[in-house]
Order: sequence, then structure tokens, then C-alpha cells
Amino acid sequence: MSKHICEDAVAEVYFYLDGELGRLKKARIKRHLKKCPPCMGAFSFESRLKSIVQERLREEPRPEVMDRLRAFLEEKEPGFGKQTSAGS
Amino acid sequence: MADQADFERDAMQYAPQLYSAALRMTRNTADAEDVVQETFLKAYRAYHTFQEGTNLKAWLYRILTNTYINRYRKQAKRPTEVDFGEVEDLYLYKRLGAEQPSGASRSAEEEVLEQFVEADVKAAVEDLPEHFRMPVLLADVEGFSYKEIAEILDIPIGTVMSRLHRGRKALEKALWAFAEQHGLTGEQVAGDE
Repeated sequence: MSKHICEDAVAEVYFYLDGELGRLKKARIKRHLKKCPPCMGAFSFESRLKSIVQERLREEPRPEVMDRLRAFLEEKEPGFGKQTSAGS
Repeated sequence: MADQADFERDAMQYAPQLYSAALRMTRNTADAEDVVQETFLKAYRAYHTFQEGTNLKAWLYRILTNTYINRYRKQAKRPTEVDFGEVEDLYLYKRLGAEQPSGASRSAEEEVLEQFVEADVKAAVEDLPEHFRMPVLLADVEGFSYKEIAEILDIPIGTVMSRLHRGRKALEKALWAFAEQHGLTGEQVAGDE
């Protein structure tokens, strides 16, 4: 595989994974990856890294945190949370 | 124009996600909770200015980001621009292993990624300077597009791209340091013969 083509592909790896490439560029890279195992390995790695970051950083708040948020809003804004029963 | 009566139904579903993002911004639970409370109060009060049919999640994140910045930039001096220099492309991947052609199965490099625990990844992200941390969080954790990130952070899209790309490279550098510390590099990964 020409070094030049691989360098071009790697330079676009983030744009590719972020879904920020146009249709033609995306297709060109896809074609290249099929033919080039080293680039495929690198793209697959970066893709997994992106999802690892997401998986490890998502943190569900404890229910008390959400309860306190509601209580805070109800205290500051008495209208909050009442609208559903009041109808329109 | 959005109706305040719909706020609870439409906006509150994003509260857990915003809290998670606030944790990564403030780095502690008490401040994250304060920032989220203030964000939702502001959002509720300003909800009549929200254009229905536009991106509510991005609108909320913009308020969150501004709330965080207004609160904490006053205390902390503007973070100094840390110069990470030019970090090469595929920094982590190249260090974790030679670029040997891999088959269909997951490569040894990817196996190392699986071993990064939550604490490593959190520390690596939280240590990023703020101007890198925010784009990385918004893109990788929250899944916003470059255009949305530009709107949330109120910076040009070109700046989003360069900060995001440099931020990710800095993150790879930090993760490499963890991999070395924890002995995840080299032979151990390949397993015994």
C-alpha cells in the first residue's frame, strides 16, 4: 500500500470516526481500509478507544441527586412540576 | 417558542447526562450537583426563549457550560495554555505495539484498552486542560457533532476541530503513562507462549 495513501487516511481518522466526512471521502477511506490491514487495525483501535472513553466516563447519578434537583426547582419555582395536573 | 409547562416532560430527561458531564467538568460531586441545579433553574426560567424544534440537548449543554465557566473561571485563573507540542498521529496505538497486520480478531493493542479501568480514563480526561477537556467530553462522551460543539462552546468550528484533535492526542499520551505504570505494555499483553 502506498505510504502516501495510508498517511492521508490516518490524518482523517478522527473525522471519519466522528461522522464528519462527506460521502465521497468516507467511501474512499472505507475502500482503502478493506485493502489495507495496518490502516484497518489503526482505525479499529481508535474507534474502540473512543467508545472506551464513553463507557468509562458515563456515570449515572444516585437517585437522591435527581430528587434534590427536583426539590430545588420546586422550591425556587413553585410552578415547576405542577403543570401536568393543571392541564392547559 | 417553548412552553414552560413542557419543561419537565422535555428537559428533565437530560438531567442524568448533564450531571455526568458536570462531574467531569468540576471533578467533584458537590460542585457538579450545584452546577446542574443552577443550569436547570436557568433553563426553566429561560425556557420560553427556546426555539421548539431545535436541539434541546445542545441548548441545555450550552447553559451548563456557561454556568460552569462563569462559576469556576472567577476562582481559578484562566488555565495556562499547556503546550503539548506536536503529538504524533496514532500515539498510543504505535506505542502499544508494532503495527503488525492483524487478522479479523481483536488486536493485542485493543486488548490493552479493555484493561483501562474507569479511574484511569477519568483521571486522564480530568487532567486535560479545560480547553481540551470540554471538546473531548462533548464529542466522545456526549456524541455531539463539531457544529453543535461550536455552538455550545461558542467557538469557531475550526477551533473545535483543532482542540478536539489535540485533546485526544494528549489523552492518548496520558493513557500511555497509565499503561506503563500498570504494566499493561509489552509482553504481558501478548500472554504466555
